[in-house]
Amino acid sequence: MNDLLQFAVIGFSTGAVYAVLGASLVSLHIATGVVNFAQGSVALWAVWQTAALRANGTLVLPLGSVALGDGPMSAWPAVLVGATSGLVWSLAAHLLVFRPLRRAPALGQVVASVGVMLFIQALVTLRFDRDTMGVDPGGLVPLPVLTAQTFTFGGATIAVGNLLLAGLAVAAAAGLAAYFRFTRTGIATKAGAEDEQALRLMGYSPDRLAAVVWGATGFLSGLTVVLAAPAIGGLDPVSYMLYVVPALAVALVGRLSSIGVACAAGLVLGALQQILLFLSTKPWWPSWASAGVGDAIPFVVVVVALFLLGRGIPERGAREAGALPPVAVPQLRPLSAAAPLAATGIAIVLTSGQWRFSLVMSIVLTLVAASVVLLTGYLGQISLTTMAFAGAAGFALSKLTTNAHVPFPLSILLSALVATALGIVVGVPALRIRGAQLAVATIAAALAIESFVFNNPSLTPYTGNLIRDPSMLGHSLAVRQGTDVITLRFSFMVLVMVAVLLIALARLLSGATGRAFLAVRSNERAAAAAGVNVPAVKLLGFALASFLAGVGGCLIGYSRGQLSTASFTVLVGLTVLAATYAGGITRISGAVVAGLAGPLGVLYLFCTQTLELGKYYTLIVAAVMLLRVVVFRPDRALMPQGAARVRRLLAPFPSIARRHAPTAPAGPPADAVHEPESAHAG
Amino acid sequence: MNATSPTAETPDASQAPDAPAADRTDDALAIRGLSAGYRGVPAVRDIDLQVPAGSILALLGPNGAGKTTTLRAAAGLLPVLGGSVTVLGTPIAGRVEHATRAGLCLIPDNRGVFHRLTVAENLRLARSKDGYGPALDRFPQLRGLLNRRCGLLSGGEQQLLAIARTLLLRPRVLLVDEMSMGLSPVAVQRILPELRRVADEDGTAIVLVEQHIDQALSVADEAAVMHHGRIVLTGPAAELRQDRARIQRAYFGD
Amino acid sequence: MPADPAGRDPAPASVPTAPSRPALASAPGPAPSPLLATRGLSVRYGGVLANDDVCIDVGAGEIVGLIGPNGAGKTTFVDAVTGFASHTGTIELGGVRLDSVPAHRRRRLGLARTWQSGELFTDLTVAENLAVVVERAGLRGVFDDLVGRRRRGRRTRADPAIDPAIDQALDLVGLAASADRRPEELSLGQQKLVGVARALVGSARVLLLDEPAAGLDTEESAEFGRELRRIAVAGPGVLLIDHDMALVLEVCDRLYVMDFGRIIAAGTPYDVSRDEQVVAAYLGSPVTP
Repeated sequence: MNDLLQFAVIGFSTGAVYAVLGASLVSLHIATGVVNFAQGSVALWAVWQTAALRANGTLVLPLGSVALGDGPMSAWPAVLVGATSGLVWSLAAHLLVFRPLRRAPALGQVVASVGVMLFIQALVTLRFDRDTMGVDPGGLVPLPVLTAQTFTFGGATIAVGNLLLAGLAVAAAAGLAAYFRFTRTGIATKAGAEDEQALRLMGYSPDRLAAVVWGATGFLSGLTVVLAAPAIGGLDPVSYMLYVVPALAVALVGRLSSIGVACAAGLVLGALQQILLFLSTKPWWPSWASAGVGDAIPFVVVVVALFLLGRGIPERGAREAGALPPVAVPQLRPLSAAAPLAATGIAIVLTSGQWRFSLVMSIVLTLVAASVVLLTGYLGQISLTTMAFAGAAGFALSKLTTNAHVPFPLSILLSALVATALGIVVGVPALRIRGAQLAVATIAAALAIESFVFNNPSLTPYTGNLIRDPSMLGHSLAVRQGTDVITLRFSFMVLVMVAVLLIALARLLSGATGRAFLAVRSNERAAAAAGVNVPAVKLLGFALASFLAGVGGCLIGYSRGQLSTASFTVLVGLTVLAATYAGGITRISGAVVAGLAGPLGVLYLFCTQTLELGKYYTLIVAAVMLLRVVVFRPDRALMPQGAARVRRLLAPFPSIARRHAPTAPAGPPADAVHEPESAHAG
Repeated sequence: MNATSPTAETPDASQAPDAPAADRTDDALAIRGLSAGYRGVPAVRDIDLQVPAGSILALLGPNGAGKTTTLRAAAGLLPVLGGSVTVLGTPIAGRVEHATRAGLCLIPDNRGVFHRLTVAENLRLARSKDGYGPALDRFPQLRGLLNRRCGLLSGGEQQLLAIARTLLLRPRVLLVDEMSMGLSPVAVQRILPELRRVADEDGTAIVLVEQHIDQALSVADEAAVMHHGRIVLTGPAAELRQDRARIQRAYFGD
Repeated sequence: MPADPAGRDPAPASVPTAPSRPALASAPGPAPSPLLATRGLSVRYGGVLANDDVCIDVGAGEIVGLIGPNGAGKTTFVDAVTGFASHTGTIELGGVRLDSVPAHRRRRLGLARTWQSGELFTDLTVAENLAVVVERAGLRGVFDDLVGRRRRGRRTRADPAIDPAIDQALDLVGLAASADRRPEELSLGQQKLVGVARALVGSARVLLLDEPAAGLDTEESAEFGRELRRIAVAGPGVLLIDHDMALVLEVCDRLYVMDFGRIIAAGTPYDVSRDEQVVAAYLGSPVTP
């Protein structure tokens, strides 16, 4: 019992981070309707900033750096500057990204916040290096700020610092909650999220009100993480970015509307993780579950939150805001399919070594990205699990080929079916939620799969999951032969398989299945009223998408000879989503772009080898995606509007026109006069 | 566009759109030659309306005539594509901030009350020195509802709240869009006299967009009828009330 | 247009009621076994009784009007009948109980509706909007898409002439020429008609039309009324909600008047329109075209 108490209090350090990040996420959702995946990245920058200041007083800026004083900065000023850097990043994200997107559909907002998340993280890796700071980032640690005192309570050793962190979390959440409840500006902020126009008519500026919340949450998140980091452990350029996943889970427990519940859930989650960590060292604990349990909990929390708390998490506004990216339905013409196929074949023959390998990776990534096009572009379900599905199939492939000796084409089919089953399991939550919340559920699922399966030593031995080379009818299709890193046979096997699947996908998307997907995407209520079984269609979409991703995962696995978990991390998954969105998430050609630009693809190789810009790669992808989301918005069609208007002006009712042919009324377009209604929706 | 020339139907030549009157200094709201619409395409053209302080104008017309567009442009929610809107001499260049600062308030047709806030919170949003006491004095019915979430109020109560909240801002010009939408006629009959009182006692200029013609004319001083984005008829409300055939003709645009 | 159901349906308690409500007139002779019959249908939204003990019959080939002021609960009734609002009481279509049947199955059983705000699939063409009703997505659909022969020409975006029913339905509402247009290219009135066509297609037995004529002018509205007659002659029953009294009085066989979630009067258009109380309180614009 004492042990449990002791570990629970230890867990308050991470718990405080979850609590404040979660309270911040809820606050931002209340104020703006945005679910901000970048909350952890903002805090990540703050931690590094504080560490740099305390090492030698360097203030690192996105470009350049400033030396504040000659030597290390003292603790509290450094903490304050670090937390303020969180405030600045948060405000910048508001002004440059989220404010322009305030009427964009959920997909645009989620993708944008994922873009900000990746962008800041990539910038942390780039900027906090030896050149800028003058110290080795590997040697940097978050120095303690809070007291190291302990006391004994009921036999348990309690660290005062951890209690202070918990107190800070509670105070931060209470402050945020009081702001929304008792202050006029806080009330106005809530009102602005409901009806921005009505608030403007009362003389408020919704943007300024939102900015207050962005700034405050950025500061509080930065402050908490900076103070908690020494207790949590070392410094790396990723970890706090992904703290947003448990924070999102507790925000969902608070139904994205209760700051207090989110804070409490965060503290409990932190404590629970430590207790489980402690229990997993016990001899009776099953060895298969000894790793990754802590990271799997957020997904469990999300699922429980979604199912026990019911469907009552309101999306902001009852109606769909803004328009989704327009869809380009694939037109299958023999030539348009054959030409790129032939070109790719020739390119495979003409290249060799590394370049051919990256070309084949591009082909495989195209398939993975095509699954994103199907699920997110066509069906409108924002899933961040794609790479995890691919990895799961690769994992199954390893087991099937090494343990069960399943022969080649069957091995891919069975492994992809494993991914399909997993996809359906993850898709079940999608029946109850949509938009940003589905993104939360799926990223939690991806993290759980990554930690519990890929990084679990009892499932994935340190020697790796080997995959036997494919062969068919006695001919080896192995990726390597002698000194050849990638054989022609393997390359063409991949090309043929991907081409067949893409053609099948094009047929699906241009047929009844595609129409049903688009109907669900554009209006679920109306789809149900048109006789479409919406849950079944969604599950079908998840099944098909995870099948495609699964085949992609198998091909990646075969290309390595073993399952390399690094290919399937959450980060890679987010990068693929970013690349697909940048390429055009509603068209198969967008998947091709994503394949070329995705990790280890042709453009990646070009970027890293030829231009030697490898370390900028994630930054570039994130920046391109942000530009695509914010500046070149796909939901703003440039051309067709004018033409449509002309036709509308000239298109009175046919039945009326027949009777009044000479004097057809050419009034103002009907929708123009009725626009106020739709304008309210934002 | 088959609207008749407005002058033919307009009894008061000084308010005819084609002959803009010399500035009347007591006009709280002056709309001159206004064209406004969406995405650069005008939905209303050449609108001329002047409303003196303490006077009520009923803006009538069939669905889609452009009444809402006119109000939204006057409130700065839509860019002005031509002409001008001034509130007590201050031009509103398509900016809401200008309009609210000049003392103009618009109650939109969705009433603009915040459903997730309580009645008290809604009232607090009006930045008034005296708190929201005056609103409760004027509409005592709201007193018992202060802690109720606005989304649970009836349509009539919501409209009452919207008006009460707006009046706390002491508007010099008040635009009310489709006040009676979703209200029972009985509820409308109780709210309209309140607006008359506001005009008479506070000297507020009011523009009322209404479907219920008779009720609107009963409280208005002047009336204007829109059709196909233009004003096709203006006149004193009492006169038009006696001559419904003219309104009816204006409604059908012939 | 109210966005919030709670806002749309005022609390009956706090709004003054009409001085004396007309007694519930017994509806004159609906068909002995109506196609659609609701009994004791009640819907509650967060403490507000939005529909209270509503009993409505719609017979085959019959056009039944449901009128009443905004916020009376008419749309709520349609939501409940078509499976979009949970309710108590019973709903029968051709003698089959539908109370616990999900919305999409009710549509396949022949209960079709339109929406006040159109709710068309903006990414699909007009014909494709209708095709969604006729087609069945699912594993079978996947199989057909992958290996099925494409009947009647290519089944592509520009030409989803899968079923002649689509052409027929578009013809009925006079929009055959717009089959390949996007909804956004049509006027609001035409968009409403696409909604009607989408409700018509695919063996609809009862149509619930929620303000289908709201975007139409007087002439168009009258033309729509004639189209509605033609549709009803072909067999399906129609429940028509509209504010255009000229249209309602012209085309409906019977009328129900709803206020504060309850049916307060029922009868022939002649009876209802002569009911002074109903006219004064609920139909009440003095300029009625």
